[in-house]
Amino acid sequence: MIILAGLRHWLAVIVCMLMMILAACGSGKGDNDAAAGDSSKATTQAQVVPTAAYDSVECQRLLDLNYDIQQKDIESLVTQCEALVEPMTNALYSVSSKSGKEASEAFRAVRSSKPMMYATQLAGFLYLAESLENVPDDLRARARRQDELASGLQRALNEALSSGAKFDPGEDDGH
Amino acid sequence: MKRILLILSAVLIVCGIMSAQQVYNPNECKTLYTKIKKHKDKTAADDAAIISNARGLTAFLDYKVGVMLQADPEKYEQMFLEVAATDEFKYLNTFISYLRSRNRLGRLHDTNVAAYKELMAEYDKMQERAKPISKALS
Repeated sequence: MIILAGLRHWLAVIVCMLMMILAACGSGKGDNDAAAGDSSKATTQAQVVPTAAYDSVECQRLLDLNYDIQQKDIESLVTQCEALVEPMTNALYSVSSKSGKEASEAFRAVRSSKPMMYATQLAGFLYLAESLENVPDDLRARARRQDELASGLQRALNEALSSGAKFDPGEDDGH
Repeated sequence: MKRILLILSAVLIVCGIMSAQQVYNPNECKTLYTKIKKHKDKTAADDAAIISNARGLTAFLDYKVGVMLQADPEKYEQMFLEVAATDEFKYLNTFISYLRSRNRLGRLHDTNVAAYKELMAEYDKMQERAKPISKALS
């Protein structure tokens, strides 16, 4: 009886251990799924993430200056444009390569993002930045480069829009 | 005789209305847009042409805003995106940015200052009218 009781005890322990292992495996799979979900979310977010130099507070400060930008602000304006314009252009081109609901959602994520808003609005100050006096040549050249890239941003927007015209925003196209 | 006078009056009124309307010239807009983007020298006459075309473009966008405001707010996004993809939208953004910069730098010729102020009043009015759309899209 003592032996049987001992066996039952060990059997219970083994069953508990098996259940724990199964639970651990189950939760592990869940974590992986969650990680995969996060990863795909991160991929979507990565499309609208500018470079590390992006500073939303500084962007807002520059926007608030509203054509009262001074020579001392040009470096910061150009830096923020460098952090925003090209990544946003690439984000829009990545939308153009998608289709259906995926394209619709990606386009909406990019278009309505704050970095996109800052990219388009700050680009409007670049002509002024290039035209101000006493701006160092290298900084003026950087501003001009960003101004050129901002034209590319407009082209990318048009391309994303023309590809977007093939889908109905917010509707699943069945694919 | 009376009928002829009536017809002539109607023709004159139509001509008056047409001349008062702000219009833009797409070819001229393209030339001016390129001049701005390539930083080519611009004369006071160029600035006057930019202001004149910008007023026409503002009137065009104001008309589009009116159409959007009559539509279902759910359609704002698609309608806005269609407008944003037009050359008119691109030209106006560039012209306004250029003119504001010139004004800020004090480089607008005296003869263009009054027209610039009229343009900005019309542009601000159009933007004010478009606020419900901007709010719905944000």
